[in-house]
Amino acid sequence: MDQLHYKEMKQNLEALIAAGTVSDKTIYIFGHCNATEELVDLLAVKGYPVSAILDNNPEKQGNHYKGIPIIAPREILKTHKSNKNKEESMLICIVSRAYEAMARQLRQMGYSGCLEKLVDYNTFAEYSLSSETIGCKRERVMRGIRIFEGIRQSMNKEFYVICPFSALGDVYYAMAYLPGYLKKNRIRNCGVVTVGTACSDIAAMFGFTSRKALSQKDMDELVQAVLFTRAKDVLIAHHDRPYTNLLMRALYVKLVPFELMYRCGVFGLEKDCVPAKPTKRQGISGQISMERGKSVVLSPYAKSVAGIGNPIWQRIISYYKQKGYQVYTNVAGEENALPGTCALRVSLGQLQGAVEWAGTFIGIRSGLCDVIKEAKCRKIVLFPDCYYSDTRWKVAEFFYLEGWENIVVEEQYGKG
Amino acid sequence: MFKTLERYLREYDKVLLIEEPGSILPKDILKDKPKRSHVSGQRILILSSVSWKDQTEDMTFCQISKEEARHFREIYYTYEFSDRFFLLPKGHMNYASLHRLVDTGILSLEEFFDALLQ
Repeated sequence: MDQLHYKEMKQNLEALIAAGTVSDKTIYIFGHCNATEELVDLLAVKGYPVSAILDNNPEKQGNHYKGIPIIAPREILKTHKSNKNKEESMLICIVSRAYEAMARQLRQMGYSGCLEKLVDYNTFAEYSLSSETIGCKRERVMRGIRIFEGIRQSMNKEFYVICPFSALGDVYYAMAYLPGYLKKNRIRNCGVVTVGTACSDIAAMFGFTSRKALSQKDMDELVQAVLFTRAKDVLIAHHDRPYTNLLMRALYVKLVPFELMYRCGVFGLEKDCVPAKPTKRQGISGQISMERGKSVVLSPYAKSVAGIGNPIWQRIISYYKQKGYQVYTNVAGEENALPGTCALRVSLGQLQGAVEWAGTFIGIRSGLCDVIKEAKCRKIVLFPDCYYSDTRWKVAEFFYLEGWENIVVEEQYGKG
Repeated sequence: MFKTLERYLREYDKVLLIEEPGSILPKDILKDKPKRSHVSGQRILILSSVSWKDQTEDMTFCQISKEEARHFREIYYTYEFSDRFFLLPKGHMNYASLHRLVDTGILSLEEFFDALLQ
């Protein structure tokens, strides 16, 4: 979960607590994902334990997160339906992108108690066809059209590639396959539009010099305008955005790994198409003091997958320190170095050089792993032992990294 | 016109607007029910302004006017008004698509529909 959404979730939760909506309630969270685990932790810090996590995926049911059972929604509704007073004492929170569908499911199952959406990820959706909703959404499209006009005027390119979400790994693969797409379609010049400057930096690493970084809100409006106008000089290069993109449904029938989603589903390139590699890396010489070949860089933070608890990191730190290694935590923004390690703050363009210098990289599966996937050093990627989204595929299967040591951390070791 | 769309969404589990059904829907795909247990039991409505006659117990084909199809397509591209309405457009798509996985040999057409209707 990114920092902006985390902040939004925290603010909304604090508002609910201040309004008295949370106290004395039996709390459930619907949908088991990374954001759910963050909410469980946040509620625990504030003294509100979660009774159960509800999830429709039978493969997830029966598992636990920090001792909290993951169960089918019908289980709690069965218990509480017979007792309306009990239902009034329930609070179901949703921090998933599929809020509308999940809320509808609960209502259809007969739940009439308190239901709260704590994060609004999806500004595209409003499940209503009322004139008021349509009017608001048309205005949103018009704002997007104006944003696009501004981009066309300032960039003046033959073609535009839009990376609609702020995730480094997504942008990495978009940029890796974009050259093949441009060649196939005989496009000579192309502007890249991203959310935020970090994603723009990824495009820069692949040599794309014409770039524009937007806020997520402006990006969402731009994307809607691109859909509405059916613009032919644009490709929205993402594996599951926007809602018109049904690509991820493929996972209901077979495993299509993350990179293949980009190669074939996003860009329509041949299965054996070779991705481009980043060519514009920055050097690190003289900028870091780590011992060459005898250091390890840890990367414990991720957005798309659930975190791995401190105990496993502490074991890794102890192991390498005993072997005489210097141990670093790669940090950005407000992230903290793990206890007992030094903070490594380098730009994305310098990160590959830094880990090659260190000799060893160990990270939870995140976009950073993609950024340094070509690094010539020992590379270990850690996966939480959980399913990807609402699919039957494990995170480690979907995000497997070729040429890396892929390790699944079992729950008893990962959560602590 | 959107009242009709609301009614479709009330009466069916999934509504597909297909701009060129002849090219994307092999006739036998909807009849092969034993293999598609998840489809069985769902009420599926296929809308198109192009005549394409086929029907099974679970799927209903409805020919709509070009004007209706244009309105439905326009509202679909204005915002996500439902997660049970899908558009399978013809021609250029400026976003990633499940159909590209068929074109590149990752999915068969049968798997495409299984994924879509899941």
